[in-house]
Amino acid sequence: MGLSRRGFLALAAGAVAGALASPIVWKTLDDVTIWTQNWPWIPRLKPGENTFLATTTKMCPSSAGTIVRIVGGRPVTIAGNPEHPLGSNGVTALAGAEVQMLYSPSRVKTPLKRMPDGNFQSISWDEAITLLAGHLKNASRTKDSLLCISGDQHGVTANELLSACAGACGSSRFFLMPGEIQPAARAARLMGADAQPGYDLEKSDYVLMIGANALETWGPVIRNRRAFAEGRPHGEPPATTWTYCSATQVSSAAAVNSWVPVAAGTEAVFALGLAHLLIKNGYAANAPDIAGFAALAAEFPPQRVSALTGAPEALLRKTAVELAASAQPIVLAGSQNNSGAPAATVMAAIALNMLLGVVNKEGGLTFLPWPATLLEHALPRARQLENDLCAELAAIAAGKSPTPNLALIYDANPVYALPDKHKLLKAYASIPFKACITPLMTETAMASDLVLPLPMGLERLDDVCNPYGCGKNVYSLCVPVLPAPLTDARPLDAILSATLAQAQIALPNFADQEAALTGTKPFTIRSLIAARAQKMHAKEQELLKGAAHTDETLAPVSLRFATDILQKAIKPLIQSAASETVRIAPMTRMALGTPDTAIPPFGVKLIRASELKGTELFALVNSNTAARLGLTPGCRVRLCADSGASLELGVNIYDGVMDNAIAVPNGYGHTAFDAFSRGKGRNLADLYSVAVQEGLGSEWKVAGLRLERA
Amino acid sequence: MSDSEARVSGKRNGMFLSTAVPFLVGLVVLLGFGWIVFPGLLYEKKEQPVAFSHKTHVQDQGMACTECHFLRKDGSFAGLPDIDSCASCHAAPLGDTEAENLFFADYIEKNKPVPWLVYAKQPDNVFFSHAAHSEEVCGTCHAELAGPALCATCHMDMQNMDTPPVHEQNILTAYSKQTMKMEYCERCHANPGHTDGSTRASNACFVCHK
Amino acid sequence: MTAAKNFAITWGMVIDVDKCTGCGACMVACQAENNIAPATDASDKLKALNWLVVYELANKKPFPEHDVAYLPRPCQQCGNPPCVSVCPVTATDKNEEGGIVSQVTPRCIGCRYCMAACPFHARYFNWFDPVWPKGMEKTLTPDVSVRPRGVVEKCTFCHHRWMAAKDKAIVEGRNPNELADGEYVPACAQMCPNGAIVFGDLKNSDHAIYQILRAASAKGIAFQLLSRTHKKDRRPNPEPQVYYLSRRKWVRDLASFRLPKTRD
Repeated sequence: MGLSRRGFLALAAGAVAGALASPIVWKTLDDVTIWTQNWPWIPRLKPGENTFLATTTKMCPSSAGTIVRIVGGRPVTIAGNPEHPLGSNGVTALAGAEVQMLYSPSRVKTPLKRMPDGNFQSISWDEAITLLAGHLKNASRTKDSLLCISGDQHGVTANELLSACAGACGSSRFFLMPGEIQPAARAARLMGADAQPGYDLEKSDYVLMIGANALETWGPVIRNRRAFAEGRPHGEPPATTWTYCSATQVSSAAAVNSWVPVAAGTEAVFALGLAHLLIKNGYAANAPDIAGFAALAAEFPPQRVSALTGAPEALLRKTAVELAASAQPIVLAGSQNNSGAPAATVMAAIALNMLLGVVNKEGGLTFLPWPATLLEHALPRARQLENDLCAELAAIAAGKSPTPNLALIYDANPVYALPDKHKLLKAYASIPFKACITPLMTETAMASDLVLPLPMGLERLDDVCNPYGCGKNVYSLCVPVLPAPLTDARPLDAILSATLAQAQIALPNFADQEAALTGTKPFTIRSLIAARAQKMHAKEQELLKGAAHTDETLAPVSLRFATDILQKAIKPLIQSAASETVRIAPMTRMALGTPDTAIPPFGVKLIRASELKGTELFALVNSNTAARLGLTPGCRVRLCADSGASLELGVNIYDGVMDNAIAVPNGYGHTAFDAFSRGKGRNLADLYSVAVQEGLGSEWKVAGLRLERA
Repeated sequence: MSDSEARVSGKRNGMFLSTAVPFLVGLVVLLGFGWIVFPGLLYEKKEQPVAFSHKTHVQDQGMACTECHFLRKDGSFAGLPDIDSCASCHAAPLGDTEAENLFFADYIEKNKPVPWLVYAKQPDNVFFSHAAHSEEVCGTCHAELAGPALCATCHMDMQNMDTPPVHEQNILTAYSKQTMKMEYCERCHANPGHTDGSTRASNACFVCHK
Repeated sequence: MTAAKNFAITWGMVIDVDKCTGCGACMVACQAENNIAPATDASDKLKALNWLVVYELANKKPFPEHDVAYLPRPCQQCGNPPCVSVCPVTATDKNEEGGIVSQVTPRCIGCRYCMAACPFHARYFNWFDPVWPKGMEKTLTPDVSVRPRGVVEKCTFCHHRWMAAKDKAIVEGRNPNELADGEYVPACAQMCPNGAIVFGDLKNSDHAIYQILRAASAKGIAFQLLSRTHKKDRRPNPEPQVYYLSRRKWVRDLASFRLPKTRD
């Protein structure tokens, strides 16, 4: 009996009924929905035990105390450490991205050597050290033949190791990257204080920020913001007054009591305008040259100040009145780029604080003693800050200073960050051998002959000491949250010791017996920290657990106004302020990182559409300026300057920019790093040139700015 | 019966048989395939990477369950012990079994975590709190759910097993055969006796998902 | 028309717009805490995935009367959520004590009806599978699932942190439904260096948020975000659980749904 058609159909029907009554169809369907939601390329979560480690951030200029959450041995997120004097519950947008930066695609994985064809080749550490040692030995034969640049603005130990190494090789050409601290230290010194200006914001009732974006990028930002927040109970009238003077009404401007438009670069004039009004009101200071200063201030009546700075007279007067009415006012001044301010800016601010009588007082301008120098051959901190990198490179370019044979760059990115690229970078490029110790593949690394991977902040032992802007002495350690770096990186002391040893140059010893600890090798990060802790009477074990050491000792100072120097310093500033029809107003945001980090992966989503679209960067002008210059929203302009650079940007209209200013975002235009930063926008630093004044250090300015429709 | 009637009834009988029989055959074959053969095809049998014996550790060595499976101070559950916990006793081989020697060589010496196959594995989007399902919490009403009995409501009772049971892994989804589906959790979470306010349980989505 | 749901515990926020400087630390914290993948190009704001967005507000006056404010906008965890009422598969629901609107991505079919319904643009669609640079997936926390492409996601007030706080309370022998102020705080609120985001149980007078909101309401400076559709088509107020406060009238007027002054 064969299977008839009816029978076949019946068989099929029975099979279907059976299949439907069994798990085949339903289970498979269910499993397919699960399978299609679990593609293998979607990462799986890994459970683990939570531990929390306290450390200090080296990556973020806020130098804040942080707490890293570790799950099963892997760092996952970072939060603030409210117990830390420079910390609070939160951290900046940059520090918040620090854990993920550990896996940045830009990380340097192994030592790299530049081959004749221009490409980098991975080499072993032994090879790298041998190569570097050869150049170092060579450089040590001629005085000052080694140029050392450090990007560690806020630490002491790394700089001590580097400058001692340079010193051991006969070179005093050790430079820190330009920042806010150099002009401040210079200003203090010129006015008779061999100490670091500090700002006791916590106890102040009136904080005047002239140019310094203290709630976003200037100084120990988290501590600034904590002090700010403490005076502002929710929904109540603020208990303290903060006034922000800048060209752009962004960031700090949104939350302070008042915003005063002041053109970028004219901060010193604004300060002198306030001094004029205060002196008129009877303010004086107990300094020998007060009369000379009063005479200088008299040249800055409100009308002239308003014309030079763009600040409305009424607001200038109002600020002076408020300063006079406050019990504990404080004035801090700086630049919007966090570098390149003229010393005159801080001199004028210090002068104001002198008039207000708040020097070395609670809530006022404090002077912090310089940290001790522990190693022989190392430059004292004050000397490190006196050395002016831009001035030196300008001198090399002009043939006034010999070209070094070897450049050693530590955690710094001068090729991106420095202004005056045609002059300064040409001088830099002329150095025959450049070695770069860096965690990330920066523009400087790309331009170097030897790249040595450095552990990132979360992977190394390091320190932070009196970061510029703090009000009292703070010493805190950065401790590793991983047992070993994720790349084949080596800490600075290991690199330098091996190189010096190979070059048969003796490792620097402790400078004095007091610092020496029996049985330890001085030229290591660990023993320098231990020695420093001992000197400060700090508990090393507490430091290693993330606690900070604080000290309220202030440096006694006897200030003078140094009017003749201030007058000289301010001349070129007035000349340019009077002549320019359009001025650059830089806008810097922490979320976009620093020249050493570029834009962190998590920072990309914080870029506003009005600032960057794809790769096109947008500047902002207000409607008055747009009308005057004939600019329409979205049009393209070309900014050219005497530095030789020309930047093409789009323009958007935003009335939170003062008249005659074009606000350009900082931190773009990277040509190295990774897809998160590379190729986006243009680098504002390119527009700046450097002007060096004798005894006053270098100043960044956009000379000869021309704006053309593109 | 007349001849034609006999032919018709015979034809009907034949028709019935020629439809019913194939239908039943198809039905039974597919039912059999679906319920008996298919599960065998869908799940791949796997052995644990280490032949861990609960019997040795619990019965012979007298270890308490909570020495490895405990609630941490922050409320999270330790789950399966990490390699450091094992190394706290097994820093050197303690016996002479082949299983332990392999474990020592492949994992302890290399400080490598053991890739255990988790029978009760839940997807990443499921949140389960052992703290909320502790003896104290469930035991307030369910006196019978004390100690291993409570654990056995979701996990197999392992304490007497000398070798780990076979892990049956779904070849499509990679989850185990014992992976509980939502209905299992809802036995308690959707039970009106639990959601009437007498317990903290609720069937809200976010109570169990993340 | 469903009424707003009422719970004994109501997690909410008061965001002090006068303290926000737009730094974005909260946005970074949210990405890290909730396993959101970074993007190499976030120019297209319609596609950029950010559960919390800080908006830049302006008073639309010309210089020098121009004023700026920044406003962080998380999911408003509405009492009467429009998104819940439109979801065809109940992937989102408001059924849990605490009032956090849940979003269960395995159930989501990606129809994006909820995105259209949300007046606050608080919901985001995964146009692509999330991609982390090699190795960065090691920074994923085990607390929040990784969502594949094709599903909608949104801010959950870091619900996982609440579960962790409850677990901690349980092992310490405390009542997990009586958490002290500060035991459970979402990542954004913790991370804000200005303390602009206040978080807590709106119904618990022991939580700081209670007094802050009460005082702000009494002064008439508390407000909630306007849903544009609300004014036009008279749909019921979604009743967000996120409040804002600003002493500046123009900020309140921009949001335009001011809370009436209370009678206290």
